[in-house]
Amino acid sequence: MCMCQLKKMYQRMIFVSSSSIHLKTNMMSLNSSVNRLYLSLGSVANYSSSKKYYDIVIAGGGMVGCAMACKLSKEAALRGMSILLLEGGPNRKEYDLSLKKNTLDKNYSNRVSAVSKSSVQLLQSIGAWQIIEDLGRNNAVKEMRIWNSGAGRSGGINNVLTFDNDNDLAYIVENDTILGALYNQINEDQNITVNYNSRVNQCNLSDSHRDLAIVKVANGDISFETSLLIGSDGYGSKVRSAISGQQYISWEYGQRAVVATLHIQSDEDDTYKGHVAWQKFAQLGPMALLPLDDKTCSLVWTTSYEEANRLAELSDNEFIDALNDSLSEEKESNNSSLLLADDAVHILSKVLNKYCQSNCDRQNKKIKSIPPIAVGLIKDSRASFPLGFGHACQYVGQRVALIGDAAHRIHPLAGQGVNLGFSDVTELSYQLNQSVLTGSDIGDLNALLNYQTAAQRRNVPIMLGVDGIQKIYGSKNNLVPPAIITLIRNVGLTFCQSVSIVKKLLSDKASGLPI
Amino acid sequence: MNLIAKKTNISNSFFIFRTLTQNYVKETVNAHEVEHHSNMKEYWWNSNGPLNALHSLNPLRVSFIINGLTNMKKIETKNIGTRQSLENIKILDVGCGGGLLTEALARLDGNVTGIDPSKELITIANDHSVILKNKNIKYLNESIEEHALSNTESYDAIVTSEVLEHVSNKYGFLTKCVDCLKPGGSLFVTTPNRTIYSWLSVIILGETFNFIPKGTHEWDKFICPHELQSILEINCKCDTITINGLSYDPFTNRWSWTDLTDLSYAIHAVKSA
Ligand SMILES: Cc1cc2nc3c(=O)[nH]c(=O)nc-3n(C[C@H](O)[C@H](O)[C@H](O)COP(=O)(O)OP(=O)(O)OC[C@H]3O[C@@H](n4cnc5c(N)ncnc54)[C@H](O)[C@@H]3O)c2cc1C
Repeated sequence: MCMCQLKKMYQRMIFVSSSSIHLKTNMMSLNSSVNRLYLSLGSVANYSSSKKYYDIVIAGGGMVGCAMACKLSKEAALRGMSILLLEGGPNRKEYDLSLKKNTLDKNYSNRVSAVSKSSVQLLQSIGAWQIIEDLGRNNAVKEMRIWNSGAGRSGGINNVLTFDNDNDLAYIVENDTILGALYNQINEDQNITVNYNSRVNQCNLSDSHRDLAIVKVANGDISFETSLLIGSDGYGSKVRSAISGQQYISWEYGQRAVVATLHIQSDEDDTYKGHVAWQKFAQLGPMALLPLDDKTCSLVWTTSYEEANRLAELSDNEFIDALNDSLSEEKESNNSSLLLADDAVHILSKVLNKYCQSNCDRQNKKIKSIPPIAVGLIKDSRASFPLGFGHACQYVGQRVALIGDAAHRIHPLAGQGVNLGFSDVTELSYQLNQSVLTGSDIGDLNALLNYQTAAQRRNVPIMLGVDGIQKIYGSKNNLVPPAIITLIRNVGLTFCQSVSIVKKLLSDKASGLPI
Repeated sequence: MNLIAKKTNISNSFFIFRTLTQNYVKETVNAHEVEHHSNMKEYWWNSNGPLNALHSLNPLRVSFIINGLTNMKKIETKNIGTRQSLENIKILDVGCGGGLLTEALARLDGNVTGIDPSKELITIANDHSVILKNKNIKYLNESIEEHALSNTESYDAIVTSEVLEHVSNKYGFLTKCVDCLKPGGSLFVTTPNRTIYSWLSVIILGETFNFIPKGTHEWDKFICPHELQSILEINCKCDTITINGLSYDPFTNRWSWTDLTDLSYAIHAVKSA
C-alpha cells in the first residue's frame, strides 16, 4: 500500500515539474495565438531572459528563405504553425511591386535569375508565379547558344551548342521581382511574422532532442526559441557555423562577376529573337547574356579581379566597346600551337561521331549564329560580385536545416544557384510534411536526414559539373600551357556537341528536370 | 476443403491449449525483461543511438494506426490528412517504454495513455514529454493487469508495438488488452515473427552487429502471425482486419512494408461489437 502511494506521489511530482518548465503566459495580447511566449523557469542560466517561441524560425529572407516560409505555411500538415522570418536587411522599397506595374518604362534591375521549370512549379504552388506573370516580368528562354573563343579552323558551327527544347528552357526574372512576389504572399499570410533588420548573430543548438533551438539577434533583447531553425542566410551563413561537426568546403575562384543591363541589337530574322540566352566561354571566363525582352539583356560577365577592376573604371561607352570586343574575340586562331589543338579536336570529334552514330540521333543543325551586339546600357546598372564555391558537408543537425546558398554556393555560369535553393525548399517541405503527418516533432532528425540525403544526391553532381566546366573553361591557369587549355576546352565542347545524349542530359539539368 | 479448414482450426486450438498450459504465468510482466529495458534509459531518445531502428519504425507504425482507424471510420473527415488526425480518439499504449510512439500519437491530438512496468522508463517518458505543448498525454507506471482493473472498455484503440515478443503469457496479456477496448475498438500489434529468418536477422545479425542492444530478444518468445491471429479471434473475440509484413534495411536504417511477414509484421484486429 505504502509503495503504491509513494509511486502515485512520484508520478504527480513529475507532472507538476514538467508543466512548470514551460509556463505559458499570454503577455502579448496582440497576436497571442500565433506568438506564443514561453517564460522559461527551468534552468538557472536562462532565468531572467525572456524567450519567444515559434514553431519554425527561418534565418535569412532572401529568395530561398522567403519561398521556404510560404511553402511551409501552405503544407496541409503544417497549416497553422507559427513561422518567424528573420531578415538582416531592411524592408526594401524594391519589394513594392506597384513600382513595377508601369510596363511602359521597364526599369530592369541588374540582378536576375534563370528560373527553371521546377522552380516555376514551386513558385506556382505558393501563388507567387501568378503575380510575376501578371506583371509580365518573366521572359521565356527558348534557346541557349554556347560558343567559345578558341574556335580555330573548325569554324563557327562546331562551337555553337543549341538546346532546342520543345518547351521553354527557363525564365529570366529579376531577383527583386521574385522577392517582391514572395513578400507579397508572406504579408498576406497570418502565420508568418517577418522581423526586418534582424541579423542572427547567435544560435544555440543542443544535441538533445528535448531542447529547443535558441536564436539571438544582434541588438535584440529577446531571444527566440524554436522547434526547427532553418538557415537560409546566404553563403556567409551564421546558422551553418553553429551546426556541430560542420565541415564547409570552399574556395574562391579569384574571379568576379560583372553585371549590367544592356540594350542590344540582335539578328532581326532570328526565330527566337528576344528568347535566346547566350553563353560565351571567353578567355578569362564565361560571359552570359540573359534576355529580358527583344532589346534588353542582363549581362553576367565572369572575369579576373584585375579585369573587373579595369572595367569598373571605364565609362559606359568604353565598357560597351570592351564588351563587344570580348564577345567577338577570335584572337587565338592565329596561334600555331592552337592549330595543333585544333587537329586533335578534329580527330576526337570524328572518333566520337563514329562511336555514337549507331545509338545517337544526331541533329546537326547548322546555325550560323551572330553574337548580339551591345548598343547601350541602363544607367547605374553596372556592378560586380566576387565568385566562389562552397559546400556544407552537413545540411542538417538536431533541430536545424540549411537551404540555398547557406548550404551550397556555385558559380553562376549555369544559372543554377537559386534553382538549387528552390529545390531544397521543395524537398525539405515535403519531408517535414510527411514526418509531421506521422506524429514526428517538426525538428525530428530522421526527417531532416532524409532531406539531406535527397538534396545532396541532387546538388552534388550539378555542383561538381559546374565547377568542372568552370575549371576547364573559365580560369586563366598559368601552370597549364594555353594550347592544352584550348584543347581541353575544344574537346569539352566538341564532346558535348557530338554526343547528343550528353547534350540532352545537360539541357535537362540546366532546366532542372529530373533525369 | 471444409475438412481441411476444420483440421487447421482444431490444430490451432490445440496449439493454443498447449501454449497456455506450458507457459501459464499469472503476471504477464517478466522481471528480467523489465530490468533489461530499464537499462536502456540512457539512450532511449537518441535517434542515432542503439534504438535507431525503433525510431525509424515510428512513421510506419503511426501510419498503420491512422490507416486502420480511417478504415474503421473512426477519424473525423475534417481531420484526415492533417496533424489533428487522432483528435478525440482515446488510445492506450501498452509497454510504452520511453514514449517514442506515445508522443507521436499525442502530437496528432490523440488522447493518449502510456503504461509500462518499468519505473525508469516511465520517468524518461514523463521527462521527455515536456516538449509537447497542450497535448493529451499521460503516463502510468503499471502493468496491463493493474490498468485493466479500472479501465474496462474505455479505449477506442490499444497499441502494443514491439512488446509482445517480451511477454511470456501472451494469452493473459492480450485478453487484458482487449478488456480495456471498447466494443468495435481497434487493437494494433507489431512484433517480430518466429522464423529462421527472424532468428538470423534479429538475434544473430542484429544483436551481434549492434543494430539492437544485446540480450533484447529471446527468440523462442516470438510469436507467429497465425498463432497471434488465433488467440485474438478465438480467445479475445476479435476480427483480424489486416496483417502486413515489415522489412528492415539496417544500412539505411529504413523500414518498409512487404507482402512477406517472415521478419516482422503488424496486425490490426477489431473487438466484436
Ligand atoms: C553575379 C551572380 C549572378 C547569379 N546569377 C544567377 C542566375 O542567373 N540564376 C540563378 O539561379 N542563380 C544565380 N546566382 C545565384 C543566386 O543569386 C543565389 O543562389 C541566390 O540568391 C541564393 O539565395 P539565398 O536566399 O539562398 O541567399 P541570398 O540571396 O544570399 O539571401 C540571404 C539573405 O539572408 C540575409 N542574411 C544574411 N545573413 C543573415 C543573418 N545573419 N541573419 C539574418 N539574415 C541574414 C541577407 O540579408 C539576405 O537577404 C547568381 C549569383 C551571383 C553572385
